[in-house]
Amino acid sequence: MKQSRFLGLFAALVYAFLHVPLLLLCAFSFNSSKFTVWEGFSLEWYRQMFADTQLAEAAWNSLVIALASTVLSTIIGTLCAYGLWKRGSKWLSGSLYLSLVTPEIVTGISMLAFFQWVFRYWQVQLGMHTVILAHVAFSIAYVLLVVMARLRTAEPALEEAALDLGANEWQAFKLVTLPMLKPGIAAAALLAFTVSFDDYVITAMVAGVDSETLPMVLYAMARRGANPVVSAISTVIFLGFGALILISDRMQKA
Amino acid sequence: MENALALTALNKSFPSHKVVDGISLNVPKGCFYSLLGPSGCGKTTILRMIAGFAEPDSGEINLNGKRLNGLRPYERPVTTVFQSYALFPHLTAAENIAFGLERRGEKPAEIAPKVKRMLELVGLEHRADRVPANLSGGEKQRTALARALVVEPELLLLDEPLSALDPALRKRVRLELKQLQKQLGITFLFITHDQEEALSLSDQIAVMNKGKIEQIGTPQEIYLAPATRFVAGFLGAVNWVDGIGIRPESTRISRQKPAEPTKSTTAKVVTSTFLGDCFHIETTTENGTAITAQVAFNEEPFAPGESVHVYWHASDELPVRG
Repeated sequence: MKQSRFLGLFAALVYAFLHVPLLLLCAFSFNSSKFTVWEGFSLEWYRQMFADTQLAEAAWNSLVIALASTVLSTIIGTLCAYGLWKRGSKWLSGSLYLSLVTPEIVTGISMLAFFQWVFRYWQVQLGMHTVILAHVAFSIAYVLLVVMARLRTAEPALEEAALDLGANEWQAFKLVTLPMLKPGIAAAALLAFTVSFDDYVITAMVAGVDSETLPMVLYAMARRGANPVVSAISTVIFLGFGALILISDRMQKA
Repeated sequence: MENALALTALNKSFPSHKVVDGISLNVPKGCFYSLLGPSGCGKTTILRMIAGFAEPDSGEINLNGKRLNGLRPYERPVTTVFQSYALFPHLTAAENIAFGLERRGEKPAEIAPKVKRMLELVGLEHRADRVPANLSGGEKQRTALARALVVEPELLLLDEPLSALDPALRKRVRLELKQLQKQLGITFLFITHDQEEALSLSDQIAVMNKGKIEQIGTPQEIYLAPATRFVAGFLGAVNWVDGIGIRPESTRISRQKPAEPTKSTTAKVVTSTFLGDCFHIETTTENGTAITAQVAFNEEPFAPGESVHVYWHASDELPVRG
């Protein structure tokens, strides 16, 4: 009895450590004071947030980058997973997972070096396109990981059964494999969207002047000192992603 | 009888070994034909080559006079019931059954009555709208069977379709399968490692070992007159006495010396195992040969260490040649 009470207390502390900072952030975004002392309820910071054109532009950039890289990396990653499932290769799948364990700063620097090398021969600048390409590159491994997990539990004879019943290879993929993978692909896309929207280190390396993302702007604002507008945006992002995950969870159960 | 399937000198090697070694066999039209053998004997590879999932290195596969070699699986008038059933998880039982008809370009108006009739045939009308995850093992098995049969294949391949069912259900489904085959008249090629299954279902059995056919015959022929020691041993227990095989159920045992039978030897009881419907009495002779005799459940039991006479009729000896 005593032991279980201790365990309960321990669990409560761990959960508090995890969640209290987020709750505080949300609370102070509604504080009328600029400082971390509660003075009263106010929507002032939200008003300032919506009025800030630099923020709006950064949010738009982040959305475009996340959407484009999600679509591209989900397609490429799914096809990769399918190919590796049909014709497995330790080296090929291993090297794709390598990008998951490579420190972000290394990935970022190598991407920048690569783009600069390409730009010597091809007159282009850093910008949205380089950010999207970089995001696609590191998102593929996440997509692969999720879709592969789904394929690993799949029945290997399913495509053969489709061929056996008269479907050609393309129909077997379209009518049997793809529908079977749908929940996995949806989860992979959500993950790709999240890691893209969230990324700072690699993005900061390869972004151009016109392609500042939300994390970059937030980072710059937060460094200039306590700013409740940052709290307000963070709250909006947090709620947005929470809703996204709830919706996708519902969709997978339906 | 006219042949449906004809395999001629079929060979297939994997990098490590030869899995199918010069197989030739003919399956008559409307026949329930079994390929029986231990795992790794090459029977599944033969099935995969007929279905088109693997190509033979050499040899011919002909079905009703048409050469199947080199055709894609969807170009062959053959369907398969997979060991794992391989039902499409996102489709209902009825949609699974309709899949093959849709691929053949049939119209919804033609498909619906065929699917309905097939559901009735396998007794799944009330499960039509369930996805495989919500079907029991037996229902999945019947859905897989219905899905393969509805397209009226010239040959149905069955890859150990009963092995995933629990033993009680397996016996009932076995009976249904046999009735269904007789009713529809479709040629069945049944792959199994279970000799009881093969014996009870088949019109013809080909017993395989290490990529080769050991014997082809009716269930009675291969059980009562096995051509090789392998066949004799694979189809049931055998006592080997000086190179002659006798099945335990033909072996008698008594405390007195038998008066009339032709073959008899003295032995000592080692163990007596009660199996419900009978006892298996294991004995050894003076020169160390092990002989098992089957004794009815209601006979007086024999105790270990007892001296007994073991005997049999010469006519019950298995005429094994090789």
